[in-house]
Amino acid sequence: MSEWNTRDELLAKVRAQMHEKRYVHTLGVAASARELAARFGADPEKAELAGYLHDYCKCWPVDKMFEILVRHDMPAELLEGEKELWHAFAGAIVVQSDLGITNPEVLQAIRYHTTGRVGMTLLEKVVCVADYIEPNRNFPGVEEIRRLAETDLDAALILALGGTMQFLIEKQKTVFPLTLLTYNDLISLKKESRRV
Amino acid sequence: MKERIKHIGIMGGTFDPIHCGHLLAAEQAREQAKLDEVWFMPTHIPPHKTREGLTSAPHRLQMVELAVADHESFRATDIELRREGPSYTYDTMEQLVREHPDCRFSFIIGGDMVEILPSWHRYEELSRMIHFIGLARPGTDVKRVPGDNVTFVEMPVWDISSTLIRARAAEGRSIRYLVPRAVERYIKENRFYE
Repeated sequence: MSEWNTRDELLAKVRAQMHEKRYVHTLGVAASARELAARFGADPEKAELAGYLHDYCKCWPVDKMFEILVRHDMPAELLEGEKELWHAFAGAIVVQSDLGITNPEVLQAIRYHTTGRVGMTLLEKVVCVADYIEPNRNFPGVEEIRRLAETDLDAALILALGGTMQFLIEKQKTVFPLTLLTYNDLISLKKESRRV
Repeated sequence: MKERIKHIGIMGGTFDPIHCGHLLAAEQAREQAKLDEVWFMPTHIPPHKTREGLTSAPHRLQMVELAVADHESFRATDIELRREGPSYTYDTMEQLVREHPDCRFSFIIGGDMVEILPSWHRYEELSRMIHFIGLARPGTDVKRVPGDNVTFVEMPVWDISSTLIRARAAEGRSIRYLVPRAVERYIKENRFYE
């Protein structure tokens, strides 16, 4: 089953899947995820692990990801839809078979790190935000997300997802419906918590 | 006298091969959602998109037919295989609804997939046309789902997958009780997955 016993062995497997830049990003996400987990009360070990694994399939050929998704009876909508979604879904499948990762929370965090989902767990939010703010990230607005992530994870995620959608709209690219639903979900939760 | 509207559950999948986990899921959905019938619908997969290629469509359909033969409420349908190229669920369902005005349809999906339903092709229109049945594993939080169009049914935990069956067949190991007897024979006769 699992072909790794130590962190170094796991990282060697991860490193073999991707180019240098992606690997550097991966390490950054793991470190940020661990930090955010400790700050907001998620499991830092699981957060770090999900960080190492979140982009496991990102650099794989699309054909290979497609085959994995087909083999696991994923619906046509995923297969015919946005390819950007594939690496997260394929990744959650592949780390089970390749690395023997079975923890459902870690697998969920990998699966939804790109889109988010309605009713995200704390760990899922941590990994999603870490993916945006890891130290190698450099896009307009990243500083503001980093600042929010020091005190308010939901606010950071709302800004990050909102920014992504805004960017996509400006470029006239498709917005994942799920990202919008996640955004709305987070906003309405915020309102509820303010109401008390 | 007008016939009662029949409630049909649709189980889509590659079915390469169909296995007891699929049948278990369909039976739970049938019972808990009070379906009159479950139709198993093998999906068309473009051959050029896979590296090794899947078992051909007629063989996948044949395995499904063998698997459902002994259940009075299970049927196989080749509707997606008959269409040209791969179909979105929307297109298939639109055709089904049109061809069967005496039926209403629910699409059976894995609990995991419920959350990405809004990403499906023409989801808004699809969800006005049909319902969804989500297969929930024990402990799944079924309260928070997008929309109110999903009925959850409880599933026992099982860990059978087509991948597992192909891997076992490739190693020459037993797949008895993982797939129906007739499917097992068909796989052996045709030397699939060897």
